[in-house]
Amino acid sequence: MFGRKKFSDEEIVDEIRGGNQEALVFLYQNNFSPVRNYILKNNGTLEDVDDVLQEAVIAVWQNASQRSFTLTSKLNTYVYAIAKNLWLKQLNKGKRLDPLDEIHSNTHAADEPRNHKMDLDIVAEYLEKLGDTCREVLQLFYFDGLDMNAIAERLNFSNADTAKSKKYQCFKRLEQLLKQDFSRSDFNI
Amino acid sequence: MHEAFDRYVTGQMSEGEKAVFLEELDRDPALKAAFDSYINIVAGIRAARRDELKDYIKKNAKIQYIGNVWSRSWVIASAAIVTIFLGAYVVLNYYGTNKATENMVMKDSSGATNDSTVQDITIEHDQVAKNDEREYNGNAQDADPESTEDVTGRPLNTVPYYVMEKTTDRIDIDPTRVADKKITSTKQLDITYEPGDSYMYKYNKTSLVLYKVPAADKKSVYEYNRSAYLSWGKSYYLLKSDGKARELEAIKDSVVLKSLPPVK
Repeated sequence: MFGRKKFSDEEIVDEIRGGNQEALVFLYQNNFSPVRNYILKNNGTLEDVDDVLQEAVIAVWQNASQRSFTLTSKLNTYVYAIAKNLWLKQLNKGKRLDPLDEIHSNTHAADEPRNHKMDLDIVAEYLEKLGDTCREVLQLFYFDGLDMNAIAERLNFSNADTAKSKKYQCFKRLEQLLKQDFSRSDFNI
Repeated sequence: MHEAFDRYVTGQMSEGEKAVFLEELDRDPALKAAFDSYINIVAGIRAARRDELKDYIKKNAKIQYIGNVWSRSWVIASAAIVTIFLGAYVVLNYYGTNKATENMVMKDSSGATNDSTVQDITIEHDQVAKNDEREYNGNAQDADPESTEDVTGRPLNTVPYYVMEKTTDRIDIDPTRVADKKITSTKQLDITYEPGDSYMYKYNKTSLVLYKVPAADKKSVYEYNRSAYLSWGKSYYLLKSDGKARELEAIKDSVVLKSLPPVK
């Protein structure tokens, strides 16, 4: 759909809310040059540009996915601002971006405890075992930040309560599978 | 409990609610343990989704970097442009070379041309003959002394030109001492190569024209005792400096040969 055509910010946000991942690519390509120039001028490498810009557009994806999101600047400016913040954060911490570091926004808690021992890859592996519907419900809720109405609409559930119930069942199933195969110490229970 | 966890991680709690929730976690170890377990699973779900989206970007974004080149499409376009220019260069050189060949058709002693491409040439056979004739007649004034090309269009070559001091009045010098002679000059002498039926030369101290002598052969010119000698192959040839076209004749004078650097 995107190709080389220009899109308004509103159209892009609509595509994000519809789950069209091409919007990610569009934002990435449109913002590559300015982000690259900034990072390379500030002690970064080409690899850093990739990492940071991907995280930035994903952050926009997460925020824009929610119906409460309101764009107060141009979308490209927003992407650039997030990328800059991410890079400065990385420079200050002196380490690469951690998947558990949440990007501070008005929709996601940024101060989650991190007492985890569980290998994230293992969780991802078991998530696959749940099947596509459970995986999508959980990801749309916990990552994309969609509310139950949006999830119900996206995944063709009859209503928000059904989506909520499905989400709970899927989470408990995942938890159960992990408990079966891993010790309590791995699972922090 | 699960719902409270959900509201906390999705940022739906107010600051007040958050504070109460965190206090409760501090008070209740079982709740804390359950929350830690929950948060680990959420972290895994988020990491999986993040990786999935990153993979999608990597696979579909058209910007990639290869060293310092950014755009795949620019890489392809640049490669195409370079290929076109290289191809044009090769073609032009090929046809350019052929065109020069047309001007330098060689004739053997019978006067017949021996170039297999003669059918392609546009220069008439008698035109080639006129060029040779002009040179044999020593019509040097036709040649531009400042030219960097010979009359047939081939580029001029240069050879090292050595001026050797005479160390003694006696010419009879032990060959081993010739190597000790001080070479006072390493001037370059412009040399022009012309086709010919026999090995000939024209020399006037400032320029040398050689006929039939291959340009690629190693050669030098030494000036010794006010005479010039061409070193070519395993022989020395006296070069008379009157500018007239003369046959190259190897010198056999052992006294002179001993005075010159040994031929290698």
